[in-house]
Amino acid sequence: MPLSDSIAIPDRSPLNGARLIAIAAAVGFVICLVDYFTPHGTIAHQWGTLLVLISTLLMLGASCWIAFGAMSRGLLILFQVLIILDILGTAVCAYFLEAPALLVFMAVALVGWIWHLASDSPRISAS
Amino acid sequence: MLKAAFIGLAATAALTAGASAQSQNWDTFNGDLMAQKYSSATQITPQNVKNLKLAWQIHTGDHSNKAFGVPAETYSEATPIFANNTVYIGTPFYRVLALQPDTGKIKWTFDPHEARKALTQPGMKSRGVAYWQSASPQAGQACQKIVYIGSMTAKLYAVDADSGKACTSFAQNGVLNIDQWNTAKGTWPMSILQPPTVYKNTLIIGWAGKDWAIGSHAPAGNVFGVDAQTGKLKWTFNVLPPEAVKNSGTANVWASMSVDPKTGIVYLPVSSPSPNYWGGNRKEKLPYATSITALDSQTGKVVWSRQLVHHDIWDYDTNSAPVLMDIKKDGQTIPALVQSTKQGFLFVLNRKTGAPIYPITEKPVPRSDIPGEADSPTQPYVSLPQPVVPDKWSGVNTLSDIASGGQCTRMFKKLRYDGRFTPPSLQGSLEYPPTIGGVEWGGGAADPVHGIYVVNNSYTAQIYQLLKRKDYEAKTKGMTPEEAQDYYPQSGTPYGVYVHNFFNWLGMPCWAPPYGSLSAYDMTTGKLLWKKPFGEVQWWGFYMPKAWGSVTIGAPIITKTGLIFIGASMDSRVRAIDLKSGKVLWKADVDAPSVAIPATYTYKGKQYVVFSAGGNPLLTPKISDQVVAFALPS
Repeated sequence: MPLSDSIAIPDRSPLNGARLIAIAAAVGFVICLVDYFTPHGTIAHQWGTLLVLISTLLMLGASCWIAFGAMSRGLLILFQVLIILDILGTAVCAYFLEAPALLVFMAVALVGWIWHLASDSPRISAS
Repeated sequence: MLKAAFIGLAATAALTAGASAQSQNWDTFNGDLMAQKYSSATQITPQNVKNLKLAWQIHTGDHSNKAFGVPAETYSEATPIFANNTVYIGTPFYRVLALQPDTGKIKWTFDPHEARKALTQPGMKSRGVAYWQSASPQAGQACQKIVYIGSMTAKLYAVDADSGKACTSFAQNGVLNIDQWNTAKGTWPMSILQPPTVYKNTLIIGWAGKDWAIGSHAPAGNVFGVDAQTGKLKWTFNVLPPEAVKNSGTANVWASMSVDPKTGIVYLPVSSPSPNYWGGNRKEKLPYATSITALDSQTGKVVWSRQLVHHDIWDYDTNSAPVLMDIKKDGQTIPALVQSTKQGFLFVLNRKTGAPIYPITEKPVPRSDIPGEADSPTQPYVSLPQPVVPDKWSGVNTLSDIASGGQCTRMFKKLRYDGRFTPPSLQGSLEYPPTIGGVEWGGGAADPVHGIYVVNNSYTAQIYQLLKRKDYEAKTKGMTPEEAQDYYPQSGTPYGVYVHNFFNWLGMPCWAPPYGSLSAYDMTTGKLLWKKPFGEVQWWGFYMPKAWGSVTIGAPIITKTGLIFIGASMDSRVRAIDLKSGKVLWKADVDAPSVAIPATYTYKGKQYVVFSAGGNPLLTPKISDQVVAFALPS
């Protein structure tokens, strides 16, 4: 599809929301990785940083799965719930780690999740 | 007559100018001899401090976490000093670095190749260097300006401030071994970790030991006055009476001292006698132990002395230089000093006489139930200024208690706790504040213009448990040094002691926050102006609520523009704070906790604020060798 078309006609596919979550999670993961290994960084080599490294990695995996994988309706809903818990939990961790960039990307992931859910709603209704 | 008056006026003007120029320097551990930690520099203000940026930083290379073949950890507690248009810093490996003040570029280094061993302390530590310059320098002669650094092996090194070469005319080829005056040779070396106090041509030298280790025949805590150029002994101040030396020892001066330049009186913060936690073998009167003692700096003769803890069995060393400031009260200007303490009291005394300016009351205290102990029935209390640590502890920390399945409450129920001055016991006594303070060795700072005193403190709880000799030996048998680090033998006495933080099995503090605060007092009234939780605590990297504050080591400094600069907290951050309100106006991340006194100086028209960010392994494993300067952008 030409780029101009995608702007002119908003794509309501739930995949875009999931992709946005995946991108935010991937960037968040890289941020955490840098924070973890920054010499003398305020959150370098800390358990909390390791925790958000794992949580962003899980978020990346789960969002990729719902974006590109096939799954049943029940599993999809379960993943949607787990992802929002992951986003909120990681955001709370980012707040207490004083990692503002990670917090911003969790906000982006939240937008992606809402987008995903909003796009998915008609399908849920139809089904 | 007229000529004499003119000369007098000229001399006064010269002195004033000298004092003004001096205040742009930072040429002693505490900024100046009066330990005010005050600078008249005016470039950085509450309005522009938010623009402060990194000016330069260096890594000295001298730090250790026991890796890389160095068997001891390091404590970088040095105040960077600025004198002779140079920044001098001492390292925990007892090296001296001379730095260019505007770039941090190294001019020279001096390395005495000292042993990298923790002989008297938990790790290698240095609080830096001292500086002296001749009042009448001889052209072309070396060592007219000298930098001194002490070592754990009791050696004091004198180094030419311009070249970094040893001053061979000082003592034995530039090295003074003060262990020659050790009254208990073979016990431990009298470690010079605190740089000497320099007044005119005299170095006043105290030292540190390990008074928790030996109960009897420990070195007596004598203080020495030494010629600054030759290292010759001028006088010795015997802290303990001769009859007490065979059963006790120490009552040494391990912290910095202050001097009144008008009178030449030096003020000694004298520590507790050995052993620290049991005093049954030292029943003699030890009036100078745990005291402030004022001496004539040129003769070592006592001017006055005031004991702050009687028969100290809490290790409540007087642990910082008293801050000398004049207080305007009832229409009079009183030459005063403010002594912060581990036990949380602020003693405000007339520095000429030692008389209290705000009342000191002798109050009954809980009594020891240890056989043979000779504890004092009363102790000195101060209610004004308000003590930095309250009389009663903060109670069990609910979060730590829940997380540990009620372990904190169970432990507390087994302890003896009768408030401040609860004596050590066999069951274990809760101490709040314990030996780690209260206020630590940095002490406070003063704004002499407005009569304001600022001090940081910690709220901590420790358990002191005496162990009968047989039980002590059984308990510590086979322990590694790491496992035994909280056990102190007090050898030669019937009791060893186990001193440890009141933590649960998860390593969480069992006492409720806050853990540290910063306070400002109006010394004309003694009233508290403001008191705020200071710093932040990190658990697993997560910053806990700001209201909790942080344990603090180090001290604030104050500038004429109404700014406080301070590291001190465990969160590896340095801050600028508004003197009027206590509000944080600026903060920056550094490599490790800056548990040292910062310095500020003006060089080529630019004001710098320098922090040594070395950390403290007892409080957090994060250590570094960073020295970092901040300034406003050009």
